[in-house]
Amino acid sequence: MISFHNISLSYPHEKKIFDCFNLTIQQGEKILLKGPSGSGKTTLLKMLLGYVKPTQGTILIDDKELNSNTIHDIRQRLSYISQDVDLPDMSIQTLLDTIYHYQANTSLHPPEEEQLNTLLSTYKLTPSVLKQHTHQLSGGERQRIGIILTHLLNRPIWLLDEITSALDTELKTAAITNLLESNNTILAISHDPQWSAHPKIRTVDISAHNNGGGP
Amino acid sequence: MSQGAIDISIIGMIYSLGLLIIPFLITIYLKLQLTKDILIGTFRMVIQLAVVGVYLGVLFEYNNILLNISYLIIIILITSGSIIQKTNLKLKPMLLPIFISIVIPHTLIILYFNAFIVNIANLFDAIYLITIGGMLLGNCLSGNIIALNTYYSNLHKQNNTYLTMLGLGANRNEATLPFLQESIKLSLAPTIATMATIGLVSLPGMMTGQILGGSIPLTAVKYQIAIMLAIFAAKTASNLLVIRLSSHVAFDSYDVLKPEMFRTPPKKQPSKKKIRSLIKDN
Repeated sequence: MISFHNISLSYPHEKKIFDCFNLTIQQGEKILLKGPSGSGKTTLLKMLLGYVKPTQGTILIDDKELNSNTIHDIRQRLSYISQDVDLPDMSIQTLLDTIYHYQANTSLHPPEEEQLNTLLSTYKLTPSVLKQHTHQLSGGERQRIGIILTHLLNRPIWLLDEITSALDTELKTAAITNLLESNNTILAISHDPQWSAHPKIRTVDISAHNNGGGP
Repeated sequence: MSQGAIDISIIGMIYSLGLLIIPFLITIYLKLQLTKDILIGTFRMVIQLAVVGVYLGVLFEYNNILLNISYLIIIILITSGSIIQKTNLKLKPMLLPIFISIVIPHTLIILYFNAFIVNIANLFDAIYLITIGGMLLGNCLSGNIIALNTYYSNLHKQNNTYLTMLGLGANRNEATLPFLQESIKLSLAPTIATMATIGLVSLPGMMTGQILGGSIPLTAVKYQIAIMLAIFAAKTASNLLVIRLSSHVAFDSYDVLKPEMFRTPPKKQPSKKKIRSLIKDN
């Protein structure tokens, strides 16, 4: 469960982004965040990751309050993929090896070749993509790599920020269906209508949750 | 050959200043507008070196261990300050980590140099401690500036990449590793290139000085090799330390870069997403 309690956030010399914002998300829920551009959708995800700190209020993730003692454990429960899937310039294979060698990930088993190939073909990629460098990939290819990483790491909570924007319609539908079929908690931001049309999605207009409003 | 180089008389020094006529004439001819800069630069060089000449004379005369060590610590402090001034980092929070990063490898390497390479009885002998220390520090300065600037400016430019790696399970050291690798490589490249070409065309200053001072060329060459290796070792070690120790101060407890550690707040590059949404809105 994720809950935002009376979150306020403002930057110096800028308008308040959040003012007493409240939102609770149950385990396994699939949330689509809506709101006009600049309303703080991405910021909300970044607050969960501790990349942005609220000026006031508390965030609870699975009953743990997010602070400097818990952030490292909490981050291991989250996967965050952004639209641009900013990855260091290395081959996809090296990237996978690097990620699986991170201390926090040593308990994970690197994917079997077969599992990896199945995932790649689900997203219309061939194993040859593993040899390519992240910077050689198109935006759509990087997004698919991001989605595959999300599946592989299979963390409890997925934060997906416009990760289907560069995919064609067929792939968008496939990706959205696959992601929403999982048992994981999902917070997504997307302008693609396939997300809001999915029966499992609960759409949350974040501007309605300010000033103590909303459920 | 041991009585040292012939002293230069006052008239000789005036002749050396006479060489300035060449750059002055060219400056005027090409309208470079460098006259003032050249005058200031020359003036500072003369004054600074004159002061160095006086206090080195004093240091060598007394050759007091405590005095020598204090002198070394002061020049390391000055070096640390100059390094920070040439980066976008703030002096106050960074001085201690940078100072420690320089003082540890330099002290160890200078003592190693004196004890094992030159094999002198008094490890703190002014003639060795201060000259070798000065050479190492001078060379480290530029290397550490390159390393720190590359590291922090790339971290700013590619902050999203750093955050993505944190999100994929990396701890701070793991996520900053690619940035660390690149900055140290860039900082060491000039030293490696110098080692590969040294002696082909130019004679290194230290060697020339030693030969003029009465050493036989082979001794001068041995010193030159040893000092190059000492510089290389000190530079590599201090590069790693300046980055790792400054990171302890530059990141917050959430492993996010603290903007208040930088003199000019890093210009936040608008994300590609923001640019796209701006285009869409118009």
